[in-house]
Amino acid sequence: MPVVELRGNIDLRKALRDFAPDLEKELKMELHKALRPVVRQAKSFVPAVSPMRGWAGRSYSEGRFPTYNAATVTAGITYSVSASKPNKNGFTSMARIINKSAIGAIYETSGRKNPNGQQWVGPTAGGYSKGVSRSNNPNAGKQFINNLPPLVSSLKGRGRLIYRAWAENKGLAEGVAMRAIDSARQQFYARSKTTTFSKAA
Amino acid sequence: MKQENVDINIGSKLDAKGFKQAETALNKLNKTVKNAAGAIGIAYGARAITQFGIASVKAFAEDDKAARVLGKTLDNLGLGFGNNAEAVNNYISKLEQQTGVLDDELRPAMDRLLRATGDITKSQELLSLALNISAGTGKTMTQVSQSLQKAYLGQTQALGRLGVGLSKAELTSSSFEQIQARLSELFAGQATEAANTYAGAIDKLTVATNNAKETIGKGLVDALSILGGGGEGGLENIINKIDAASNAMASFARGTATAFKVLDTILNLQFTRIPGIFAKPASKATITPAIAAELKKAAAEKAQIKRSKEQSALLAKNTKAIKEQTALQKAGTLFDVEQTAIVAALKGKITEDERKRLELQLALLTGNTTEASKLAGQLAYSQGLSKELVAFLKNLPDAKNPFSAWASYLDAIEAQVKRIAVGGTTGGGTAAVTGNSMSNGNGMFDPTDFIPAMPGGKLGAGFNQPGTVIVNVAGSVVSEGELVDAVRNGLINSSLSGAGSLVARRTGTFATL
Repeated sequence: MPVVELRGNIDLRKALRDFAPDLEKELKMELHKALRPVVRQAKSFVPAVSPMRGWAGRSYSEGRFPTYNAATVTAGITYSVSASKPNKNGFTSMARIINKSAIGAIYETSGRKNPNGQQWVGPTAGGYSKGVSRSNNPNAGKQFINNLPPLVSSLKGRGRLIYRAWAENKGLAEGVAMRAIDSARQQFYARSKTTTFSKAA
Repeated sequence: MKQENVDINIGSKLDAKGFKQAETALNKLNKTVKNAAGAIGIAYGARAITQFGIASVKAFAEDDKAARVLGKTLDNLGLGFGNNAEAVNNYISKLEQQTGVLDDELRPAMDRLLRATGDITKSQELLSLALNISAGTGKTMTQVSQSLQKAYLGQTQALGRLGVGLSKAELTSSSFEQIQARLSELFAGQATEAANTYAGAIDKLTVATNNAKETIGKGLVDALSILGGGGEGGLENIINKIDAASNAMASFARGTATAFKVLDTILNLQFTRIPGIFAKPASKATITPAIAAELKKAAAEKAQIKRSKEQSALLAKNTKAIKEQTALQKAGTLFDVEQTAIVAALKGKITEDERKRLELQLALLTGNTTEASKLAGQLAYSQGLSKELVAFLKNLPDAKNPFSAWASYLDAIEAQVKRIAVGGTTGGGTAAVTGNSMSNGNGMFDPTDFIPAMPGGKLGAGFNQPGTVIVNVAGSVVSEGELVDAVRNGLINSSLSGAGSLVARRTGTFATL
């Protein structure tokens, strides 16, 4: 009997999907169970109204910076239990919690890289515009960050929504997810030794 | 701007499949590039450099040989006077650069033609013609020059085989001068034209490369010659030295082998093999077969015991190594997890005391003893201060509600008022105030009368004890009117007795007269 060797997450998920769909289903259910509470808690951290009067949505805005909308942020916080494609470094993940809206990302990460805001160059300075502040107010970035709640550290990074929820979860979700993945892998290997696989319909 | 990560990945793992594919593809590409590089003559590494050096020396040697042969031919033909040899070489070099044909081909061709014609000028003309024919027909210089040489000497068949466009009849009926003139017309400018094409340019490049190779080869040979002492005998000297070195190496190898043999003999304690130093051992003939068997058995048992001990030691060593490895793995895992947790906690919002504790834990994990002892000291000091502060706060009176004690005071006052209102207390002992009402000889209350246990006090020691206090009001002055009357009467009596008093209402003064 040929020896089964699964290298990486994609191989495992593909093998489960093709040869042991019940294990795949079980794994997905476990991952749902693990991640759903974290996402729900992260959504609860989204403030109903804009933390700043000037960031609130208005009828017309000529600026490109997105205005705050709690519904958009909440809808953007979600999770996925399918294996991801390899990133530029070749890493894949079995599941992930995502904050995918632009406003959510701003609320989540503001001040993570530049705690006092980006470097101010003013509206009339020439040169590159990315990574610098062109506001009339030299302290705009700092004030924006100060008006947001503090960043919360977790083992996966710092943030205000999903990272905060992850930190407050204290590794429970990760433990459940990892146990489910290991269990699925072991069960698949165990089956491979006792039965001959045939592709599921 | 690079987008910040706003996702949390669970179960991240390196998927190396793509990398392996890329690695395989890269290896294939590398191999292909190497082959291509080898094809176009790009040398890689020391081996390639060595090979290039050898090739250079070889090219120089061949070129040098061809030049010497040509020079000798000129000498033999009686043409080696003056600077003829140099002129011929310069001509060949120039021709080589113009046409892109290597001097390795031109020199033998020139040599061949010189031997046939015995004239340098004629040979040069024929060499030029040969170059044109070679370029026009695609035949090699060697073939063309041989054919021309033969034709010059009267054999025109070879020239006909070149396919130069001359019939057999023309070749046999014409003189060489006529044939030469005809060929010059037919192949005029072929060599120059060919040299101006891309192929010609590449040929010129090849010529330049070859010349460079020859120059480098000459340099290497000169270098060897210099190593050998320089001059004409330099190369001979280096050859002799190489011979000597190889002989020395061979002798060294032989000597080493002999030394190892002797050492082997000594280590095996077979001293008798070295003649003249040690005596022969006792003959084995004195040992009987029974004794020999016993000795053999004893030796076998001894060897068995030794093997067992070695195996036990090895097993113990392996077990110890496995245990250590397991412990290390476990410790490493703990270290990683704990360290990660501490670092994560340090990033959070924590008090100074908590920070110190975490830093101490981290220092202990990382084995930073200096930092650990420093932090431990700070922490102990901090703890000491904390304890002192707690004790101090514990002993402080309750100052949170300044009116909390008032209740008891008010209760006490109320009790006193009640007691006064009732007019006494129950219990043993009676204290009586004696004397005239509102006066104690001078008509006024004496406050000391009411101070308990005051020497001379009216209440006496029994006042402190629970009991009944009876105040008897006696005398003539009971009401305010009676008091006024008493004062007025007193004043009248005093006035009548001569001790008058004067009251000045306006100024408010009072005086006794």
